Amino acid sequence: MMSKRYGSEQWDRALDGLHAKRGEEGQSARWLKANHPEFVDERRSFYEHTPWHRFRASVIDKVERYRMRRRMSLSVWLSGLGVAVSAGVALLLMVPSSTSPVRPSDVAVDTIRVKGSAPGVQPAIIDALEVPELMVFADGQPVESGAVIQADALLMFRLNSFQFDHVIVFGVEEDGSISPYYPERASGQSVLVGQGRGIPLQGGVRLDGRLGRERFVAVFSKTPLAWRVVQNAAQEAWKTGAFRVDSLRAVGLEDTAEATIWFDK
Amino acid sequence: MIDRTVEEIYNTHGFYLFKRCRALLGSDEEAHDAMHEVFVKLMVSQPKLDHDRPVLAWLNRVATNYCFNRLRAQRYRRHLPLDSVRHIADESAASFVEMLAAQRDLVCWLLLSVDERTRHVVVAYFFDEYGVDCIASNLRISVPTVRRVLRRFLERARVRVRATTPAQAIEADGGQS
Repeated sequence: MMSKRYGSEQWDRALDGLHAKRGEEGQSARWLKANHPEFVDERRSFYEHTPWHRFRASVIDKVERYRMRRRMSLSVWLSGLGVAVSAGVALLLMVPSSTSPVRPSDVAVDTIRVKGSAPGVQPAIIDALEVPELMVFADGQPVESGAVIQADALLMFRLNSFQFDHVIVFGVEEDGSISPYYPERASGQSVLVGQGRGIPLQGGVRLDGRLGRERFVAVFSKTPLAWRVVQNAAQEAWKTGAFRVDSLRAVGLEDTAEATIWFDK
Repeated sequence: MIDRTVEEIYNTHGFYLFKRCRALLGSDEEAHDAMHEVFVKLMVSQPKLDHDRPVLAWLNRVATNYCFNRLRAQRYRRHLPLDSVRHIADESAASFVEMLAAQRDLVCWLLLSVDERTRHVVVAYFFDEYGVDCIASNLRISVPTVRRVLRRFLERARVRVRATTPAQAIEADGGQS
């Protein structure tokens, strides 16, 4: 049974009435200081726990990655334009060459100069993107950090690895439990993957059905690394609060690079 | 945008933003992630901020949009016990508003299918606990418009809360949820 609709006046009175109960100034700082001193303490605690320098350290990596992607798309666009222009120039040069005496050295020099500009752009793009990355596919579909996935999904991994040849991939649950995925066994050591983009890790991982948040971490190293070393470092970092599922800093081993991604299950 | 400016913004508004995100998403960790997204966007896109476009309004808009995108992604995962709140639809207007204010998960669920302006007005009223005058001033719209948006949201909320099944709720909402 549908009861009657309320009129504008009734709603307005209700809205103003609730607001009057909460205080005239809402959650403004002045009103809160006067009425909710505990909120002031909470604010202080927030900035003590996450001061600017710490917060900045945790976001700056993402900022750099965004900027690199932006630069890359511009560079790719420009190099595409360069290729189109060079193709046009090459065509213009080739047409007269069929009707006039051939001067191989001129044609060769011009063509090489135009085409030679492309390699000048490419290393810059590659340099700009040499950030290690962990890519995850759940049941065959690529997933981004923060996605919700099935608790029993089949996960497969790919890596972008530069300057490092070995990798260890593990997961951290909300309760701090750490599970190795690559290597599979606790007695194992890092997997040799070499360097490049989109390197697939063999096989996959079937999740165990546990609900909650899990963060996957890839630790890249130049030399083989024992899982125990990474596990101990991650456990130590967890104890100090530096390594958490929600606001992950890093395992922090020397001469390693890290990439991470998290999901809700 | 230079670091100094971002640092000032963080120290002035960071906590309020964190509170809003936490109120919407329901956990510290998700609020931290939301803060990361907002500040990365601030540092990357470097929006032009001046008197006509105050920074808090920009931060609130980006943070709220991010939070609702997250909530939308989670809506099939979260179980909302509609049975336990259905009775509030039969209360007086004043009681309905008060009870709704105490049911933030429900407000979030109701907000998943509304337009962006309604979302900002309702979040400012129920989560930031601003009055209609303050909301109108912050969002640069008139007080009657704020009241009209809130009334329409509340009337629609009553219909959706009263619906006996999620399917009916979707139907009551015009199939948008």
